[in-house]
Amino acid sequence: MKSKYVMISGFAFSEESDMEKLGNYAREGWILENIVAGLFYKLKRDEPKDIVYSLDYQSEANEEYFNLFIESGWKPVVSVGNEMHIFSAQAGSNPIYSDCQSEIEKYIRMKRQAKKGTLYSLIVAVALIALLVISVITIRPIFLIVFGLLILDIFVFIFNFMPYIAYNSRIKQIRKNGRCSLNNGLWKVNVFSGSVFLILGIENLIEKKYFSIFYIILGAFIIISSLNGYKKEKKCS
Amino acid sequence: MPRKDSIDIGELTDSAFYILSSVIEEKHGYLIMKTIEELTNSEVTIGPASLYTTLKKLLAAGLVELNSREEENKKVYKITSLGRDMLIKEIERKKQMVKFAENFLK
Repeated sequence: MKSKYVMISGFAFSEESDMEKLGNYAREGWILENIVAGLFYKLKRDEPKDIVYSLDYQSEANEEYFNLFIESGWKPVVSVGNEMHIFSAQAGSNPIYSDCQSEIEKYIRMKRQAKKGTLYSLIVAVALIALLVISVITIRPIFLIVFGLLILDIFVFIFNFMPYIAYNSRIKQIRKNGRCSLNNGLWKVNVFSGSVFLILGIENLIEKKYFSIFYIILGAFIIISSLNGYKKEKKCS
Repeated sequence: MPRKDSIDIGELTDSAFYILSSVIEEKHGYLIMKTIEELTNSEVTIGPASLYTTLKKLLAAGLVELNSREEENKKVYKITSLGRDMLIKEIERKKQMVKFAENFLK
């Protein structure tokens, strides 16, 4: 059976556009089957269907939860870590959230999690930097190990801090407009942080440090995803 | 910044109001959605995610309880006396609001 893999743009930033994209694929006969490695949608060739997709976060998802969706016409398609759930329904079905008070809760839960991750990774970063300083002065051999850990930790920090900003801005927008609008200007934050990484990477590359490649890849990735946001904003205005 | 829950400050959201009223007679989840949709001629619909989230909040606040009897493996919800008090208070509040506005429309 024919399959196709499509990159996930990151749910915190582009939930709506990703769901729209999946709906467009379904109309062309590519139906979402699974999520692979948390990075790709696996689409399966099938009959074209006029369906819409919705994403919900629910860590206490049980039989009751899924039954409610099924009975109201929303079919569970894929769940990631019993935390994130994607449903599909016939186009024109009632949305899974009917009021913004309960929709806000969805993002508050995720914001709390991202905040925790941000704080923990920040604490670890501070500790590692302190250790790095100590290692420079006294215990040279552990320098590289500590440095490697620090780079890893910076990744963890970024992948918690960026979603934190995204969820925060979503919550603010729902409170302000009553709905989450697509047009959220977050791409500007992305361009900025992407550029910072690119500059860091290039600077390190000049000094012939091997880890610079991480920075460049990350920077490029962030900037590419921000371009999607920019295109969307242009389309809307 | 933590925001005060609407239930904590003694107010019910519109969805919570509809859900709480409909479980004066015990019901399972889907029946709550169906009842609200039918009695309001589809003017009000509650999405499954909104229903689940709101029911969880009403349960946590002690305004709704689970019946030990299950219908075809579905949980059955029922209003508590606390929930009933709150609902009556909320109906009074809404009546006052309507009365106030009507004074000016006459």
